[in-house]
Amino acid sequence: MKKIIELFNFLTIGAFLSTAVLFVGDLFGFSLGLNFHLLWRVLAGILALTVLLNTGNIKKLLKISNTSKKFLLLSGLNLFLFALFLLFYPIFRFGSPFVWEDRIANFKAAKRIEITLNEPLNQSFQAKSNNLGTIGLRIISEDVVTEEETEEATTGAELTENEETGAVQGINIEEGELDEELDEELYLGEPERIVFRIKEEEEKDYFYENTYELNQYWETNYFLFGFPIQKDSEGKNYVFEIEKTKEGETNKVFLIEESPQGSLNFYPRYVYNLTSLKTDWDPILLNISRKTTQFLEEKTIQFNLIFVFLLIEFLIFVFLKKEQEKFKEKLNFYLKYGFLIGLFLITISSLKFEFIQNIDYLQNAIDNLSAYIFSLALLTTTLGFLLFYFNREEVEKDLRGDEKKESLEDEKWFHRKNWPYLIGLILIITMFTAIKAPYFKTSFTGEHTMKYNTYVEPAKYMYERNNPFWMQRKYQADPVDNPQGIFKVFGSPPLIEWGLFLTYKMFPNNSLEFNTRLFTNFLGILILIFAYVFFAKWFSKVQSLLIVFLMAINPIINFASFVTTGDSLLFIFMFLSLIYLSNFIKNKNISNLFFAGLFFGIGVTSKISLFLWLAPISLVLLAFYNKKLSNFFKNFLILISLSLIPFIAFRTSLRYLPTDVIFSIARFLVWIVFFVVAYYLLRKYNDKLEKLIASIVKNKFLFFFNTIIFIILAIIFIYFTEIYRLSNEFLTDSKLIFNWNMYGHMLNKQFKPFMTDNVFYLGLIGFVFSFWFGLKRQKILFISFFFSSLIYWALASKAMFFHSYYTIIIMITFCLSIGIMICLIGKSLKNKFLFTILILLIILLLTPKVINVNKNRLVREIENVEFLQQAADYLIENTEEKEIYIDDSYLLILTFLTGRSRIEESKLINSEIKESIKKIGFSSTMKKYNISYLVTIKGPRYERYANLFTDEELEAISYRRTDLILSRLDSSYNYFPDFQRREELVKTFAIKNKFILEKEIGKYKFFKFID
Amino acid sequence: MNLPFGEKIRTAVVSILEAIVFYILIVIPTEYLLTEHFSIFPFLSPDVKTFIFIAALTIIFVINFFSMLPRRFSWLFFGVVCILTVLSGFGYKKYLNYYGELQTYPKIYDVSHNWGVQATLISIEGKNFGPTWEPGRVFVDNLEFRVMYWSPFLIVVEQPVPPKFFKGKLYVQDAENRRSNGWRFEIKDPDLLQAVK
Repeated sequence: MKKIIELFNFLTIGAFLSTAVLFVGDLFGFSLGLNFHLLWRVLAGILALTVLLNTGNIKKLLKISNTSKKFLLLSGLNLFLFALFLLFYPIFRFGSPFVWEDRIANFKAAKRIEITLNEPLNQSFQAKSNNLGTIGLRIISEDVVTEEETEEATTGAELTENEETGAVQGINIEEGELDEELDEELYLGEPERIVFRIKEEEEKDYFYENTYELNQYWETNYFLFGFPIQKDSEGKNYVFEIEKTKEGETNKVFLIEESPQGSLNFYPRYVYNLTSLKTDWDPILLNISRKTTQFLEEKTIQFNLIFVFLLIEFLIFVFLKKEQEKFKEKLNFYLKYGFLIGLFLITISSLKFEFIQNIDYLQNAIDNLSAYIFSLALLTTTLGFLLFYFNREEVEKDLRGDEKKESLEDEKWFHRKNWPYLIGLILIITMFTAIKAPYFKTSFTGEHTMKYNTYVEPAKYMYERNNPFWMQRKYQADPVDNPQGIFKVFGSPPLIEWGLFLTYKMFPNNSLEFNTRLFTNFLGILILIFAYVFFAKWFSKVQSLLIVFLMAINPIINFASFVTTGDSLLFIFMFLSLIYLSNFIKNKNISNLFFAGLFFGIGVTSKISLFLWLAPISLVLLAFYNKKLSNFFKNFLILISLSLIPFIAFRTSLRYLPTDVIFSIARFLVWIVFFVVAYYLLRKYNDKLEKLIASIVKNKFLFFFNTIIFIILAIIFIYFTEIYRLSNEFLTDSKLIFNWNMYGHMLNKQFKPFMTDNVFYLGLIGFVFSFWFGLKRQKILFISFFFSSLIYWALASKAMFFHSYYTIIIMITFCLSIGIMICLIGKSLKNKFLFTILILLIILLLTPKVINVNKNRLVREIENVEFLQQAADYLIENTEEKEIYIDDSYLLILTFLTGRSRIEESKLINSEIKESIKKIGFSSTMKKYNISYLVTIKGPRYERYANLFTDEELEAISYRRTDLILSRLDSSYNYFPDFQRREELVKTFAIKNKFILEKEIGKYKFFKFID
Repeated sequence: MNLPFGEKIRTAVVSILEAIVFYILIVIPTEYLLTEHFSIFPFLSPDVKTFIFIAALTIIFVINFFSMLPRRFSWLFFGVVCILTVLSGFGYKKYLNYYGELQTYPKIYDVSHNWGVQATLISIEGKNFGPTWEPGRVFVDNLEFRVMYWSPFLIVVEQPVPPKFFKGKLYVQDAENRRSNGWRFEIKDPDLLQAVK
C-alpha cells in the first residue's frame, strides 16, 4: 500500500510538472495539439485520488495548530466567494437571465473584413435554443475618435469684447480664458448605412430586413440587430447578411473580425419575456448555468480564475505565518527575485523589438505572455507589495535617514554629492528636448493651428511692428466691429507672446516654427527644473529625479511644451509658488508665504483655471501643517488674497498697454509700490494679524460676521471680474457632475491612452502605496495632489473632455504616485544593484511605449501642405488685404500665410448682418462687409447658415459643451435637436444656391456668394 | 523507497521529456500518415491525442518509478534525452509549418458515389473547403458540377448533362483557386445503366 501511495504521489508531482512543461511549451509556440481541458481534468482526478490516499497524513497535518484551522476556514471562504462570483458575474457580463447570448468561446481573429459598399457578408449558424431574437455582431471602427482628432472645425465666440472702449461685454475668446478652448468640431456628417437581413437557410426570402446607421463614434462593441422573435428556432439553420448601402462622411473604416475557420465574430441572442416565464422558470435557470459555463469556456478567464484563487490562498498562507521570523527571511528572498522576474517578464512582453518578430519562438512567447499579462501583473504587484509590507519599518527608517542626510546637503546645491543628481537632471532635460527636437521645424498646419494662432500670430505682428504692445489676431476678426482683428486691450498678461517676441528677436535667422518650439520647449524645461526643486523638498533626490523623469516622458507634458498653450506657463508658476510654500512650511518665514501667494497670483492672472487646482493643494498643505486654526486661517487668507490681487492689478494696469502705454505702466508702478508696502507690512504685523484672527476665531459672532464679509468680497470679486461667465463653457454642471459614464470614458479613453497603459496601471497601484505607506509628509503631499486633481477633474471636466493639456495636473499626480511606489519597493530590496535593476526595468517598461505615443502625437502635427501654399497664393491674388474669408474647415493657418482676416460662420450671426441680408441680399451683404470667399475642405455646412436667413430661434452655433459631451457618450443623444428644421430652412431659403464653387485647389475649395 | 525529493523531480522531468519525444516521433508521424497520406480521416481529435499522451506518460512514469530504485539518476541519460527533445522539438516545429501549409488546401476524404449520371447529387466530405459564403467549384476533369450546398467540411453537388462519358478525377477548387486531391470518379451513360438492369 505504501508503495502505491508513493507511486501516486510521484504521479501527482509528475502530472503537475507535465502540465507546467506543456503550458510553457505552448507559450513558446510548441503546441502539441493537446486538449488542455482534458489534461486539467486528469490532473484534478489524480490530485483527488492522491488526497484520498493521503488522508492519514493530511489529518496529522491538520491537528498541528490553530493556524491550519484558520487557513482551512479562510480557504473555504475564498472558495465560497469564488462560487458566488461565478454565479453572479456572468449575469452581469452577459446580460440578464432573460437572455442568452451564445458567444463564440476563445474567438481568435485571423483577419478583419472591411464592410464595403454593395458587398454583402454572410454568416450561417444553427440556433441552439428557441426565441431567437437578436444577432450581435462585433463591428470595429478602425479610427476611434480621440479628443485631439476632433479639435478641428470651430465655431465662433458668442461673447465679445468691445475693443473700442475696452469695456468687457463678455469674455472675449481671443483674450479671455477661453481663447484656446472653443475649437471642437460640431460634426454633422452623414453616418454609414448598412442593411441587415436574416432568413432560414432553406428559405428563399429573408423574413426580416432593416437599415441601420453606423455613426462615427461607434467603437468596438457588438452591434445589435433585433428582429421578430423566432419562437421555435431551436435546431434550425439561419443565414444573416449585412451589406453597406450608403457611404457616410464619418471618415471611418468599419471592420468585422473573422476566425481562421471563417466564422464572423457574432452571437445569436435568445430572448425570453417575463410573461412567458410565469409558468416555467426552467429557461431562467438554464440561462444562468449557460452563462456560467460560457464564462468558464474562455481560456484566459479559466487561467485568471485559477490564478487569482491560488494567489489568495498564497496570501492567506503568508499572512498567517507573517510573525515567524525564519519564514519571513526565507520568503523575502523569493519575493525579491520573484518580483524582479515578474517585472522583467512584464517588461519584455510589452516591448515590441523588431528583431523578435523574426524569431517565431520568442514572438510566440511574448504574444502568449501578453495574453496572461493580467495574472502576471497581479502576481508581480502582490510580490512587490508583500516585499514592501514585510520590510516597511526598515524602509521608512531608511527614508527618514536619507531625508536627514540630504537636508544637510540641501544648503549646497553644487555640493560634490549633488553632482550625480544634477547630471541626471541634465540628462532628463536633454531627453525631453530630444523627443521633440525632430519636430521643431514642423509647420503650424497640423491639428492645433488654433493654439499657434492664439499666441504666435500676435507675437508675429509684435515682431513685424517691433512693438511688444501691439495686439492683432486676424483669425478673430469680426466683419462688423473689428475686420482686421486689432485689439486694444490684453485679456491676460501676454507673457507667452512676449517670450515668443523676444525669441524671434534673438534668433531672427531661424524659422518662425523653429523659434516657437524653441521657446515652448524652454518653458517645458523650466517646468522640469522647478518640479525637481520642489519635489526634492519632499522626497529623496533619487525619487525626485524619478518623478521628473516620468514627467519628462509624459506625452501630455511633452505636447503642452510643444504647441503654444498657456498651461505650460501655469505649471511654472505653480511649482514656483509651491517651492515658496514648502519653504514657508519648513521655516515659517512669512516672506516665503508672500512669494508663494504672489507667484500663485501671477499664474491665476495668466489663466484662472490654475486657481482650481493650486488652491486645493495649498489648502491641504496648510491645513496639515498649521495645527492652530487661527494660524491656518491667517496663512490661507494671505495666500488666497495674494493669489487674486495680481489679477485685479493686471486688469487695472497692464491690460491697457496696447492703447495707453504710459497710463498702464504708471498704474502698474503704483501696484508694485502696493506689493512692496504689503510685503513690509505683512512682515511687521504678522504676529498682530495672527492674534487678531485668533480673537475672531474665538468669538463666534465675529467669526460668523467675518465669514459673511469674506463671502461678500468673493462675490464682488467674481461680479466685477466677470469670471462667472467662464462657467458656461468651462465649469461642470448638473448634467455632468454625477455622470459616471463620462468619468469612465475619460479615464479609459482619454487619460489611459494619454499616459499609456503601463503608466496608468502602475500609477493606480501606486495610489495604494502613496496613500497608506511611506513618510507622513510625503503622504500629505500626495493627498494634496490627489484631491486637487479629483476636484479639478470634476470641476473642469467640460473642458478637459476636449483638451488633453488640461490633464497635466492629473499626469503629475500619476508620476508622483509611481515615484513614491518605486522608491518604497526599491528600498525594500536592500541592495543598490537590485535597486538599479528595478529602475532600469521601470524605465524599459515605460519609456518605449510613452515615446511611441509621443511620436504619434507629434506626427499628427505634420500635415501634407502640398496644395496649401497654392491655396494661399490664390487667396492673395484674388483679395485685397482688407478682405475677409469665411473659414468653414478650420483653416486658421491661412491667416499666417495670406495676412487676410478670417471669420467663422458664427460671427455672421449678428442682427446687423441679418437685417442687411433681408434688405440687400446675401451676396451684397458679404460684399458690404468685405467678405470675399468661403474656404472649405469638405464643402459648406449649409445648415449652419440657416440662422442668417430666419428670425426663428434656432439652437446657437456655439459650443454647448455639455450637449456635445453627452452626444459623444451616447450616440442617440441629439446634439442639434433642430437639425431637421435647419435642413428644411436650407431648402426653403435655397441656401445651397447662394454659394458657388469658384476654384478647387487640391482639397481646398473656394466658394463665392450669389443671391 | 524513500528517495530524495530532488531525485524524484529529476526522474519526473526525464519521464516528461521521454513522453514528449515519444509523442513527437511516434504519434505525430502516425497522425500524418492517417490523415494526409492514406486520407483515412480528416484529423486526429485533440482528445484522442491527449489520451495517447497521458497513457504514454503514465506508462513511462510507472516504468521509471520502479526502475529508478536499483540505479542512481544518470546525468548522461538525462543529457541524451534533453538533446533528443530539443532536436525533435525543432523537427516538430518545421513539421508544423509544413502541416499548417497543407491545411490551407482543400482535401477530400470521402465521396458518396464514385460514379454519377446527370442530376445525381453527390456529397463530398473533407476539410478546408472554405466558408459557406465563399463557395468554390467542383470538377471531374474539365466538367464542372453545380454546387448545391457548400460548407467547410461538406459539399453537395449535382452532376450536369455531360458532353461525353468518361472516367476521371473529381476535385474541389476553393474560392482562391486551390485544388484538392483527386478522387476517382466515373461519368456514366444512363442508357448503359438501364441495359444492366
